[in-house]
Amino acid sequence: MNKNVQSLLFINKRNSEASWFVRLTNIHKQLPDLQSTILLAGLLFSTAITAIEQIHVTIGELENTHHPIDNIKGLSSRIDFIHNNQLAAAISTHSITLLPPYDGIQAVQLGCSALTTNETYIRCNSGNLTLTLSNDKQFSIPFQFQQTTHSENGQFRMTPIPFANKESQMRLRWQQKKWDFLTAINTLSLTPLSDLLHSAGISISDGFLTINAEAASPATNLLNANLRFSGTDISLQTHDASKAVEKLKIESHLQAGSTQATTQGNLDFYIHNGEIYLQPVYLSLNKASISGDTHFLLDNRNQNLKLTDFTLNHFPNFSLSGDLETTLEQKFPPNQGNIKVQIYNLANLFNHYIAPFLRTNSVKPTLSNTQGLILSELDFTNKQLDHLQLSTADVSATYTFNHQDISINNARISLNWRPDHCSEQSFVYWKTANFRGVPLPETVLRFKACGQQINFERNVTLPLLDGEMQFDHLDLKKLDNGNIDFSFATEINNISLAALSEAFDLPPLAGHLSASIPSVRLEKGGLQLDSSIQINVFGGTIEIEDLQIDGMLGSYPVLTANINFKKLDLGKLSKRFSFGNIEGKLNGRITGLRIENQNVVAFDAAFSTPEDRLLPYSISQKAVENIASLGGTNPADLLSRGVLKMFESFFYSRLGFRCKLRNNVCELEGIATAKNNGFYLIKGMLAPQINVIGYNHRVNWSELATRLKRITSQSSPVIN
Amino acid sequence: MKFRATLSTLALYALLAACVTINIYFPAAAAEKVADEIIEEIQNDESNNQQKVPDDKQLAPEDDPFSYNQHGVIESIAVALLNTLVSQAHAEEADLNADSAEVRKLKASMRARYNALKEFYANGSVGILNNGLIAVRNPGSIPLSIRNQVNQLVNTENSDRRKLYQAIATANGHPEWAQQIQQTFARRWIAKAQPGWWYKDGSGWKQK
Repeated sequence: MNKNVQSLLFINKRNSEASWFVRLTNIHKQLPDLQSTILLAGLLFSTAITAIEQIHVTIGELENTHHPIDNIKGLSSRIDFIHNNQLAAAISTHSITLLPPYDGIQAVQLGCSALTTNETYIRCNSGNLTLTLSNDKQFSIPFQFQQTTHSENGQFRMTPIPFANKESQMRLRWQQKKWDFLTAINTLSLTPLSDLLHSAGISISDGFLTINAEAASPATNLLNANLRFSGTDISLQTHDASKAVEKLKIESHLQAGSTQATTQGNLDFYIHNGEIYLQPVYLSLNKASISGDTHFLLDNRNQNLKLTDFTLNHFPNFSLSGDLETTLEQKFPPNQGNIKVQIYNLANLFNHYIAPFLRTNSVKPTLSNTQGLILSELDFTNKQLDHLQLSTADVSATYTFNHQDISINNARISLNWRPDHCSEQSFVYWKTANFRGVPLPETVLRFKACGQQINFERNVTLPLLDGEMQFDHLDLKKLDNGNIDFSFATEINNISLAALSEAFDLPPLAGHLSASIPSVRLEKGGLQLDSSIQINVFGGTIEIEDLQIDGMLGSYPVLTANINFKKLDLGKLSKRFSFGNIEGKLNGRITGLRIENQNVVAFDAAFSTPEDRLLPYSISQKAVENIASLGGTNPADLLSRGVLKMFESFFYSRLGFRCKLRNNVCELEGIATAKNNGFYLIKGMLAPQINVIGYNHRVNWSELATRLKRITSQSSPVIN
Repeated sequence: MKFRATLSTLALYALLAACVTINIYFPAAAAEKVADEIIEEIQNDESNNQQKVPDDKQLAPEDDPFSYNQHGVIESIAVALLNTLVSQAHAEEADLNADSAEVRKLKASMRARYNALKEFYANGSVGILNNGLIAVRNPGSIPLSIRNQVNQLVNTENSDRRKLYQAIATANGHPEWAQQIQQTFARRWIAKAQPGWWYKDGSGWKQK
């Protein structure tokens, strides 16, 4: 405050035209604070009270005063002597810089037009505090003030309160070291306060408050307070719009008592009507409410806070109750405590409080059709969750993400979790369930949960369609990097492919699938098989290697794999797909298969019948037509018009093709090269033989896939 | 004589080829074309998940730019070599590859999001910035019930856009082009905005 202080003392003496004034510049002495300046004015007044008609003190600039004042310019104190101890006094600033959140106030004027004083008291019957805001708007707050000069008794009263009902008032009384405070503010309009709170980052568009408060300090370090307030139609939001309420109705009651050591009391609140937005959580309370109450005990020295018998109720969704001991610095997890949770509407709880954090892209996971009660209990010790119990009774729910449903019906869950020892049994049971179209029949899965992992019991059999999956092990673990590792080994026995293909929206298949999958790993939303899957089909085998599905539960799953085809019986295969009859065995390999969001985008494929065949195979005219059309050639007209139309089938020695798919173009090759840059797709043998020669080396993949789909969709195949 | 003439021709071609300087600079026109294609693909209501189907004519073998049958063998190799060099040099100027797994994934993600975003473009809640990103124009005016949805749409869209610009640059072996690609997209997003949508230029928000 010692920087650039310039003060001007201006005195007009009664009955004199002369004026005295003193100019003090660059005072380097530390002026204590603003109060001292006011006292200085009072001192001057008292020494010359009988002879002076006006004292006007101006101080150029004060800096680094008490918080929240940062800077005062043009501080002016003026006292006018009227008559018979009647005075008028005013203190004003040209400008004042306050620290946030009060920095919306630009200037302050404190005046009293009727100041009475004598030897025993000083009284202001008509005071006025005027605040000028940074947008030049002004607030005027009338007040009355009285202070006895010897007994340290006094009273400060404000009435009416601006923007509130006329009967509203605020009163502060003190007598030596005791004081009491009373306020009764009725229907205070919050909208005009928006300008005052603008610099605090809050915009108020509507709302009314009614506040009734009493507080008293009967002795030093003792305080009793009783506050009731209610708000209606409260609409406000932070400037970044990340927190907002609209048309909110709130009622609250705080009763507290404080000593030097502790502060304790009771708090309750009830919020109903309106909307709350705390990014990203949105709550509509038009058909719901949030209420809570607690007894609290705060240790004023170490800031430890005990909440006893607290309840928090978000009707009609869930309620919490219990006891907690925490600190103001780190509220959660608490030092110790017990919380009981009752969830009445799991869908609302999930959709309001959890889903907003899970939303990705435009896809929002939702939980619906929930029924049943969920009870949970959490015990905390030493700032960590020590025990979690959860039990349900006949819960049903449907989880939807990316147009895929997972539903569970009449489920019972008993979960016992501890951070360190996996000794207590847990189980999940469902009467029926459905995983993305695959029905899962009645099942019980038993497991133990502890720390960051869930271990299901060994050798679990899970019925699936008309078959079953036998899990050697099934473990779920949270990794240090935050990802979930879900690994299992399974045997698939006799699962109906008809139902499976229908469930996964694949071309209709028939038959049954059996496979052994020694190791499956699900991590970061991706599935990876550490070993191959072998499927016996069409008299041969299909072996899937290096299968990996990334983003399996996301909106853009990517599948990569290598697939071997060994000795597939073309007779069975072609018969079931109505492709036309073909004899022979087909071998092949697809490497680098990449399917993005159900679109095949890349592979290197090579299929052919064995080379070492001495006797010819037969192939029907229809099959020839189909193969030829797949190769980009259409010999149908030739076959039907020419001499070849006399034969229903032909002989061939070998057939096959290679296709390298990139950028939606299949680069085609046959089993051998032919003249004129052609390639053999079918090489004939004996009579009637047929050669199918392709010339189009680059085929549009979409077109090829469409043709293939058109041909194969004519009937469903059977896998034996 | 014919052999010597051929050698001379080859030498001349070699000389010419030796004089070819390949300057790799940002292919602005190609970037604009790629931007237009991607924006149309994302914002086309009729688009589905099918990949863009190349014109069959482009795939026909006779359209292959090189035909070795029209020249002598050595001459053909020389021409082909020169063509290749010039073609490559030309390619550095005019081509921009926007087909990689990352780009495809981002396009699919943005296409799925566009269906939700276009409503907010149309009602002015969301506007197009002149830096290739989008923004909530007046966050406080968005109804509370959908505020998080709008914010998340904008945030994830911007995240995808940044990744897209980088992915295109990386797919072309020039990760340093990301900024220029973003600037190109910035112009094209605005140019392709529908009537009534809001965009921001140096002077503030404007409506198309």
